[in-house]
Formats: sequence, structure tokens, C-alpha cells
Amino acid sequence: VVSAVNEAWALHLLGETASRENSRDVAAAESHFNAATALASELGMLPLLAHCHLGLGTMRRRTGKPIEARDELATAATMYREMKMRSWLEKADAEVHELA
Amino acid sequence: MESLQGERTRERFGLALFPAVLSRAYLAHALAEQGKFEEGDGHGHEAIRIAEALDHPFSLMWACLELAHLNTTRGELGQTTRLLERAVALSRDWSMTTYIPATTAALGHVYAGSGRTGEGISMLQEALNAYEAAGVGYNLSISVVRLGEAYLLAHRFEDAHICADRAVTLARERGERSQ
Repeated sequence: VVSAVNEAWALHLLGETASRENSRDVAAAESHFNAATALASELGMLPLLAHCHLGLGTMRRRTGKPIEARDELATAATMYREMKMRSWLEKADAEVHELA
Repeated sequence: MESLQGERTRERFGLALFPAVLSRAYLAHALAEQGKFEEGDGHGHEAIRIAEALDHPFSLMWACLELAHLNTTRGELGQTTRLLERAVALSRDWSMTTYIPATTAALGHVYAGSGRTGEGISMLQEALNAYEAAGVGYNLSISVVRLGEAYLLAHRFEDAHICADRAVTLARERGERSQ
């Protein structure tokens, strides 16, 4: 199980690196975030699941997809709020603010 | 864990660590991954309290490392630094060679996330070199992820990508899951 947990975190990192501005590859980022999401869901890794929504939302905001971005960011913010992950909630709220 | 209460917390059952500590520390780690931080926090602190009462550095190092993992996952890095500095000191002072890379990597990750990016990256690189030198596999893939996250903070995207790729490979090579 430890290896699967670590793999999920690694897939999320792949999504983050593919979504960054300098070498953005939206399709690859989505694929990696989705793979991380699937694994995190299967294993009940809610913080990582919230990070995947934040990563997808941030990338969609930056690539001009505000409606999809809002959905992802709202999901991330709700999860962070429920888990009382304050610093991460601030990051999600800041992304929502950027949308506005 | 339920059976490791009272006097039984003082029994080793032939193991290197006290099971009463290890079970609570692992539970704190698992609950952190599930986002059940308050419940995990209680178990993590109890693990430290028992390890301190037993005056057992190896168990205490482990308890600090796992409670720190919970705090890091929650995003509360301020409290985490102290725990990990203690874990690093214990692992070095008591020559727990196998675990020095894990404690060093965890502290480097927290330093990077706290704005001490360069220092954090150096510690993570040092930890990974130590992993390779010692042939230690425990926690290697997650330490590579942590180095990648630190590279992201430093806007070293290519280096971060290399780490991410390597971490996926390592995690899959270690066994339980492959594509």
C-alpha cells in the first residue's frame, strides 16, 4: 500500500510539472492529474484528492477555461475546509479570487 | 493498538521499536493520508508521550517523524520544523544510519516549503545521495517526490519533472502496484 500511496503523490507531481507555464502540456497534465485522482480515490487519500482538484482548477484558469476551473477550485476549497487544511484553503481561495 | 495499553506499552516483544509507539505513529500517518488530522494528531502525540516516558530514542525518532508527516500533509509547517529537527538530531546522535536519509529528506522538504528553498533542496539532495550510498529503499520514492516539489517551488520545472518520473518508476518497482 505504501508504494501505491507514494505512486499517487508522484503522479500528482507529474501533473503539476506538466501544467507549469514554461513547458505546459495540458493533455499530459490532465492525464497525470486524473491518474492521481483515481489512485487517491481508491485509497481514500482525501488531501491528495483535494490537491488534484486544485491543480486541475489552477491549470484550467490559466488556460482560459473559467467555468471548469471554478468547479474544480470549489471542490478543492470545500475539501480543504472540511479537513481544516487552512493554508491550502487560502491557496484555493486565492485561485478563486483570480477567476473573479 | 488497543491491546498495547498500560503496562504493555513497556513491552518490546523482541522488536527494535516499542510496538505501542510504532502502532500509534503509523496510525497517525495513515489518518493523515485520509485527512483525519484531529484523530491522527491525538495518536501522534500519544506516540511521542509514550516514547519519551520509555526514554527510547529510536521509538521517539519514529514518533516525531510520523507526527511531522501529519502536520506537513495538513500544511502546518511551523510546528513541523521542531519535530523534524528533533528527529534528525536523534537519528544522527544515536547513529540510526538507515533512517538519517528519511529524517533529513523530511526536514529538507519542510524547509523548502517554509521559504528556505535552497537549504531545503540541498538537504533533500544530500538525503537522496545517502539513500543511494547506503542502498536504502525505505521512503526513497516519496523523498524523490519531495525533492521534485522543492524544485517546483524554485521554478526548476525540468528537474521537478525528472524527479516525478523517477518517483513513479521507483514506487512501481517497489511492488504492490504496476501498470
